[in-house]
Amino acid sequence: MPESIQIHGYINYMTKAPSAFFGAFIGIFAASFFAFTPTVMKFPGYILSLKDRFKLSSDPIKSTGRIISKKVNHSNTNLVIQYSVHQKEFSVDNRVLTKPLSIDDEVTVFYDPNSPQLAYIDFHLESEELALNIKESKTLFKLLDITPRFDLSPNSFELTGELYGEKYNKQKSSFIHSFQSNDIEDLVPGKLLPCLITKTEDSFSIQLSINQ
Amino acid sequence: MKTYGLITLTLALYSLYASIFVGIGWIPGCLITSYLSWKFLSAQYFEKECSIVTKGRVLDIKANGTFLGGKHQPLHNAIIAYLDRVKEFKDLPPNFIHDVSPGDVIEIKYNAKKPHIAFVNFL
Repeated sequence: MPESIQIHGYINYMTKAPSAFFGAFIGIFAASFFAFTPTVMKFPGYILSLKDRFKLSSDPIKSTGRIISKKVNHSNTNLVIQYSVHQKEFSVDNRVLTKPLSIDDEVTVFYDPNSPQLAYIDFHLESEELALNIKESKTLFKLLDITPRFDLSPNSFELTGELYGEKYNKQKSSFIHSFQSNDIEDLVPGKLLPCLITKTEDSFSIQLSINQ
Repeated sequence: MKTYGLITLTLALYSLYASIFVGIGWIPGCLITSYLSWKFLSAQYFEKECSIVTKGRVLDIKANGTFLGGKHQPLHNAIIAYLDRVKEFKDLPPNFIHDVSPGDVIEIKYNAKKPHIAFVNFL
C-alpha cells in the first residue's frame, strides 16, 4: 500500500475513533514520564549549578578572609568577605556552614591571582585546622556531669566539669550545648576531652572535640 | 569502566568513519557510542585533574536504583557539603553506605582551578 494512503488511513481512523486517539496520547504521555521527564527535569538544576561553575586561570592563592557583612535567608547566607585587598559577596548554602558565623570571623579563601573576583571558600579546612588544634591542645576538660536541658531546646545538655593543664587547675566550668543522640553515648562522667579556651574581657569560650 | 569506555570509544570512531564513508544510517550508532564512551571515560579523565584534598560533610545518602553485579549491591548518590558548595556525588559503591552515614566528615578530592569538579576520596 502506498505510504500516502497508509498515513491517510491512519488519520481517518484517528478522527473516527477519538477514544483510540486519546488512549494513544495518554499512553505516550505516560511513557514520556519514564523516557524523557527524568532527563528534562535535570535541566533547571543544571542551569542553576552553572552559576557555581568557573575556571581559575592558574593555581589559586590561599588567603585568610574576614567577614564584613552577613545576611541570612531561608536557604543561603550572603557573606561579604574581604580577602587580600579584594572584596566579594558569596552566597553560601546554609548546609555548608559548620558553625554560626559572625562579623569579623576569619575564613580560608582561595582566589585567582589574575582575576581575584574568582574565589571560593573552604569552610571545612578551617574546621579541620580547629579540630587539629583542639586535639593537640594541652588543656583538658574532665567531664563530671551531663544533664539534659530539654527545657531550653531539644537535644540541649548541660556539661559540668573541671579544666586541667596550662594555667588551669581544677577550675570548675559548665556550659550548655546541643548534641546528637549518637554523640551522647561517648560523653560519660570521668572522660577527658582536649579543649581550647578563648578568653575575652568578661567571658571565655571553650571549644572541645568529643569525637576523638 | 575503562575497558567499557575504550570499547565504546573504538565503536564510536568506527561509526564516525562509517557514517561518512559508508552511509548516513550509522549516525545514530555514532551518537549512542559517543555518549556511552563519554559516560564511561569522562569521570576518569576529570578525576586525574583532582589533586587537592579537603573535607566534606555528608548530608544525605540514597540508593539511586542502579546495581553493581546484583540486587544486593545498590549504588548510591550522596549529597555532600564541601568548600562553599553542596554537590550530589553519583554512583558511589555499595560499601559506601556501610562505612559512611549522614553527618560524617569524609575526604573530597577536587580540582583547584575548577572547584565544582570533585570526587569522593573513598575506596
